Amino acid sequence: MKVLSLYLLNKSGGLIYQRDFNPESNGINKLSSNDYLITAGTLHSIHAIVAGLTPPVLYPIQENQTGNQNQTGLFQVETEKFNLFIYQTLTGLKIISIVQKGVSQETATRFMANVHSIYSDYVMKNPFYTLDMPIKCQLFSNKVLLLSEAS
Amino acid sequence: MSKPYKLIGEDVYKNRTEKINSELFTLTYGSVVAQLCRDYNNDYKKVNEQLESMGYNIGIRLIEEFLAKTNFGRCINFKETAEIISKVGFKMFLNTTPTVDNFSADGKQFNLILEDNPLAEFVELPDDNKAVKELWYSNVLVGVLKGALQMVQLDVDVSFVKDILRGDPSTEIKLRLNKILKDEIPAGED
Amino acid sequence: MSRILSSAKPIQGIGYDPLIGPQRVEEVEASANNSTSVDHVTPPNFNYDRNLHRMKHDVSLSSFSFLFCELVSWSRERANGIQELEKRLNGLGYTIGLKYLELLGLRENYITNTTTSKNGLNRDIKIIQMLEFIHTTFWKALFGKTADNLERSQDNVCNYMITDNDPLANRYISVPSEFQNFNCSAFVAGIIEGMLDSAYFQADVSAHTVETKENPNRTVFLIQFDEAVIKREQIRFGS
Repeated sequence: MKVLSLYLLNKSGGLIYQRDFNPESNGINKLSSNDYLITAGTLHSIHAIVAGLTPPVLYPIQENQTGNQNQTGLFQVETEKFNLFIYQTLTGLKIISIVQKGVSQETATRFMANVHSIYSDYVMKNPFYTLDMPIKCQLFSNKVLLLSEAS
Repeated sequence: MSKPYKLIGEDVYKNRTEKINSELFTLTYGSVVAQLCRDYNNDYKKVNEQLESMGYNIGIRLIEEFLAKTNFGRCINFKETAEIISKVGFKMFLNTTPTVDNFSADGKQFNLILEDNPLAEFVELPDDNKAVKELWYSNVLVGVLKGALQMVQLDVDVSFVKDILRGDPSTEIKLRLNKILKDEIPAGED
Repeated sequence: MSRILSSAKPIQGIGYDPLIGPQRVEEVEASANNSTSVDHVTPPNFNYDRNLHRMKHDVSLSSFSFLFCELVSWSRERANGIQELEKRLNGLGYTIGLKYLELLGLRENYITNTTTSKNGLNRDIKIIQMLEFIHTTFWKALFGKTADNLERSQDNVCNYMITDNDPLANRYISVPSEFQNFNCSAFVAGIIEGMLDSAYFQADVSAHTVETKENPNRTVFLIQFDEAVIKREQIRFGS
């Protein structure tokens, strides 16, 4: 499975982490940091708008097993070249992954759940990290890279 | 259908948690409390506040690990919250299961009774008159619960009511739900 | 190295300090008689009835990590600068080390006495014995594994190094580049220092990060014994 990019957003929609994996071989262009911030904010807003648009009659009734609390908001964007999935936790943290076509929803969700696990370990337990700020933890980056290569 | 929270808690603790000797943990916490008492010159009210604030900072981070390991969704009511806190939360982190007691009729308040508290193992409060009356030794737990619940949009008042270290028969924490922070619930949940 | 125990006052008449010798306890009794409060209630202390040699009780590593993380944050707030932060962490560990040696010795003694016919643990008086004890028994008790390396420095006779490839305290902490020389295991260094001091091997212990490719968190604990200790060792054992 090939994951192309990873974005982490805090509960106000601010970008706290962005990573492209193997940008040269995957043909991903590097944008300016401003562009990344705008992209993140836009996705956050669209997610909320979609949640508002969803008619109540369609609200899911069964429990989800994966930990992804994203029930009625923007969940998936499909294009010809890639898929984009949004994973949200109860605390409002959003994990957005851009993956190649052919990667199933379950695999992507599992990847994002693992990212959440790594986040809770290497970012939350770091005394030098302030909540909701951009993540600059070296160990977190290393582990995410390992995870993207392993899956 | 009530989920087997007890089994979930035990499973998470047994299979997905790395464990350490509880003495290191107890001694570290003891060192912190002792240093706080020295810093504040035995003003135990300030020490209590500082412990609660430290616990709050821990709680807002600890909730992420709790959610990552258990994949729980939102609770239906406060009673479910109580069950999850006691059977899964405490088990996962402190390897102990407090009992839920005194659940109020309006469903907004309950007590947690801790039979064994790993923070206070072998601890004896200093023998000045003040400590026994004013210091809540494990007050960090109050902060942790408050912070963690706040991050899932529950505004809860948490406080100690009894403590074995003070001579009471048991150690009890009271939790009272003030309100659900509906505005802060992230978009995308029904 | 000054400890962060500045406002701790030694309590008269309590405990035995071999450097001072026996002390009179009159003052304590006098103050006890003066306490007039009717509601001076000392809670019944069950600690002395409890069994020290109990089943191993464990907690999750996460609890310790979170507590340690908050401990470092709190120390950072109150300290001005990296040096003071290291001193604070060292001081917090020091008080633990003072007590832990006694506890560990007791536990080891218990095991030896019940399983073999040997007489139990003797007090270590050689430096190398003490360091072996720390390297194996202490590390095992606290972290569940022995330390990875113990060596004596080539340049300085007073210096020894204990290496840990993956220290528990640092497992989840990435130190930002501004804090280049800082290692959170200053806390563990403090514990070691407390243990050595309580065994009358006065030393300064500090923690240094020495990265390798496989072990980015590899930490070396540098133990610098006082000159007097080295001299004593040479006189006694002629090393």
